[in-house]
Amino acid sequence: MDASTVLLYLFTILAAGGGVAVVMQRDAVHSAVALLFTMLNLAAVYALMQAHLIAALQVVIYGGAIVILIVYIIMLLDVRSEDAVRWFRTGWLVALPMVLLFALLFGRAILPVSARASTESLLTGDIPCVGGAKCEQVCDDGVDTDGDGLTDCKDPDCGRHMACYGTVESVGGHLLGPFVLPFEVSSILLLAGIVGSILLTARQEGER
Amino acid sequence: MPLDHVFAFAFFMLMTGAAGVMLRRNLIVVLMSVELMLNSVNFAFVGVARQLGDSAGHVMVLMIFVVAAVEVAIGMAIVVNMFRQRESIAIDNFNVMRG
Repeated sequence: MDASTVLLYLFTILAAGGGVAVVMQRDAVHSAVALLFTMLNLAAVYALMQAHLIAALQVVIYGGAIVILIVYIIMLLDVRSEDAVRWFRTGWLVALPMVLLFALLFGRAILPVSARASTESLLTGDIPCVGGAKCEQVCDDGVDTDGDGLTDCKDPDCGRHMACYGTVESVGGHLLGPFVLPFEVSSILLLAGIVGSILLTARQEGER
Repeated sequence: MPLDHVFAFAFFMLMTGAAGVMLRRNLIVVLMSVELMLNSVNFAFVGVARQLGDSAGHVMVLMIFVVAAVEVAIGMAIVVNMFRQRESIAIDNFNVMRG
């Protein structure tokens, strides 16, 4: 086991522990700090899994926007000690069967995927071109090998190369290529979110 | 990290979040638990994408980021509204559907 694998497991376990702390803490502010801890550990996990763009966005969006918004609302409403020790008494009766059901369905769903995946799928050397067609063979030389106008990581051929996987070029190529419709729809979702949150919190004329 | 371990950790975090949603009574903590569940799915997506060498999984994660951001914004607006009505956000104070 090399150092990066050890770190990967370490950060994953820390993230899972942070997740438990989010649920177990009695003070909402402590929960929020535990959530931040979880998010940052997950960002480290993503970085170690070569998902560089996702790791950066995890820190910016979750650590910088979502957790801050949550902490801000806790501060605004001053409700941090409300929950004290009280949990749902009968909740376990619902929660336990639900967890077992989830476990069953989840296991049933992931086992085929888990069996199919290879151990190492990222390439380090030249890219093998399918069927003898021209493709971007060398992904880190700054030369447009196949002459299609896309150099190195910008070429989708290089998506599985170690130097390109998970970079802005690679993910952006997917985002503005096959996934352009979901990408555009997500902007409508964000707009709806903005309008909705303003509408929900705006006070009516004459309201206290 | 083999996929089995990725799924095991993701499942553990998903169940932790689900337990928080079902058992906690502070509405803000419930929303945080939902975030935790979304993050466990993100983790599974990144792990599978890494195993299969396909960046498409990262696009899914970006979509979940968008959903999570909108969910928190709307959720917090609802929390503020509920607090204005009852001066409390303990969810067992909200047991009727009408305002």
